[in-house]
Amino acid sequence: MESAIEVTGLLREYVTETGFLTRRRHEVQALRGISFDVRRGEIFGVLGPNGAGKTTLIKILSTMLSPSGGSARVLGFDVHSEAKRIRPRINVIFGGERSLYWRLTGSDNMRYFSDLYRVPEREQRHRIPELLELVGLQEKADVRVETYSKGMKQRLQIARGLVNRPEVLYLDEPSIGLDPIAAAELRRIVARLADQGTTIILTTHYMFEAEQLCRRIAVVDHGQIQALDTPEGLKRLAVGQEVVEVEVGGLLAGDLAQLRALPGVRHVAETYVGQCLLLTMQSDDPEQIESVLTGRASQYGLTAVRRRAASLEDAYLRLVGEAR
Amino acid sequence: MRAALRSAAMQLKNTLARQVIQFIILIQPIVFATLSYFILRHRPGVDMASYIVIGSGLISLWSAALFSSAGDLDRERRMGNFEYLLVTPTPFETIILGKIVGNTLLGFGSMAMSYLYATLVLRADFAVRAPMLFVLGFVGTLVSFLGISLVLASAFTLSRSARLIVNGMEYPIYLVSGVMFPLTLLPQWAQVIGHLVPLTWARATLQAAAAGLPASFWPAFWGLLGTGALYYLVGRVMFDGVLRRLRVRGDAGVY
Repeated sequence: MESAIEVTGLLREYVTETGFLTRRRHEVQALRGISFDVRRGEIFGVLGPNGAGKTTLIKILSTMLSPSGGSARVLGFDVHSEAKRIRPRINVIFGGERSLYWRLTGSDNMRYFSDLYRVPEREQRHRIPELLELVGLQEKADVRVETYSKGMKQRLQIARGLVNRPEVLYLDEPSIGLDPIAAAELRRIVARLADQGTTIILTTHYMFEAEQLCRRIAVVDHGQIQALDTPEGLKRLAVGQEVVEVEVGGLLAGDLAQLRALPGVRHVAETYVGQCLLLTMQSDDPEQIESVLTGRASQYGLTAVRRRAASLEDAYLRLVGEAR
Repeated sequence: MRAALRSAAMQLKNTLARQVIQFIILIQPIVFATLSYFILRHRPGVDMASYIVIGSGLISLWSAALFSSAGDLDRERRMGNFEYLLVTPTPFETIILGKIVGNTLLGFGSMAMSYLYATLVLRADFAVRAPMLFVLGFVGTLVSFLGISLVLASAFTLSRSARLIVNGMEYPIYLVSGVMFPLTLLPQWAQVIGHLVPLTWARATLQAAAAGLPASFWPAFWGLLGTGALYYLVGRVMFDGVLRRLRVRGDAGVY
């Protein structure tokens, strides 16, 4: 299948200078040689912690930023030297409430951005109400954006990002701030756009969202791709089929070290759920670990030991945890 | 073209919703007209009405262009629109030009306010003896302001402290352009600087038209268009460099 996006050895460094009399130069490597390609109509996920380079990647692919090295082509055009040929055919939606004119109405915002994307007036007349209806804002179309709730602003951003019917759509953490119903609706819209042939790059912190929508996912950390596969492939690659979950009221540092050192244990993630510590243990033989821990439950004060199917989050924690 | 017009219309609507701009358009002309009145009312040989109406009107026009341009770019950054505007298919300078047109039209509103206040409240005897030249001068002022506003906008596009720069650009320009008092009161070097500012030529052009002096009008008019064209060319060249630099530095979204 033809590629919509081809990225080869992409580099990006930010240079800042501080000091007045003696200038000091600081360099930060945001992307360190990233390579991947995205097929037309694919939803491609980019997962990674804050500062991993996800937004920098989106900004380069949407022609906001120039790469420091390597190359990126979108719809066959170079993002640096042929940006003007790319721009009419793409769009970008950032998460949160920004990137809108709050003192104008929803309709005003849509009309303005439609003009900037050179959507003919005749098309605007039916497309704008359609898009506002798609995101459930038709009733509030003529109300100033400053009176919208956070979720409504976010939905308006989504409608705004679709004014030019983009062939490639970048979604940078689009579901931040949305309530569960609105987030589900967003996922439905994204899936439908992909069905209609739109290529989508999605960055998110929500694993279930990536798992539900993305055909392939790149896990990025420290400006590099740590793994790239289908959600199922990532789970197998990083974790295996199952993990062992352990609930404990509290654990001494020495006891935790002992659990980590059990034979075959490859990774232990710690999460607090209320007063309770939840350990998620990845191992070569989860059945064996479960059996060992059940036998030592009273020694460590474990309140529950169980096996469950591995999730994308387990894979993510493993990949990112190891890189850190 | 439609994008630029929409940008201008959007700018008018968005800006008029802000109280600081309402102050600049409605209140500032009254303040400056009153100041000019008290400065010049006992000064012989000075056409007081012309200074009050044209001078305070141009002051408000300059303030509107300066504050709204700088404030807008700053606000675009803070609201996260700035980066987004950079990557629409409409060239960024077209978007900015539309905004500048919107701002300049607002400035003309404040000139009208100056005229009403000066004639109705201060009873200034302001007459335009060469109306056609006055209209031509108005058009020249608009064109010239587009030029310098483009230079300012490109500088503000690159700067993260646009508002601070603006504060330093307001009063010195009023002084060297002769809109508050005759330019001849200033030392020679200040008059030379003054002639680099379109405001100086706009004031001279409109005052000559109001006084019905074609011999004074035309040199001032060509000076107005000349400085405007020069600033426009500089602005276009600057914009290309500024946009390239923004993409390389990557600080369009930083404020």
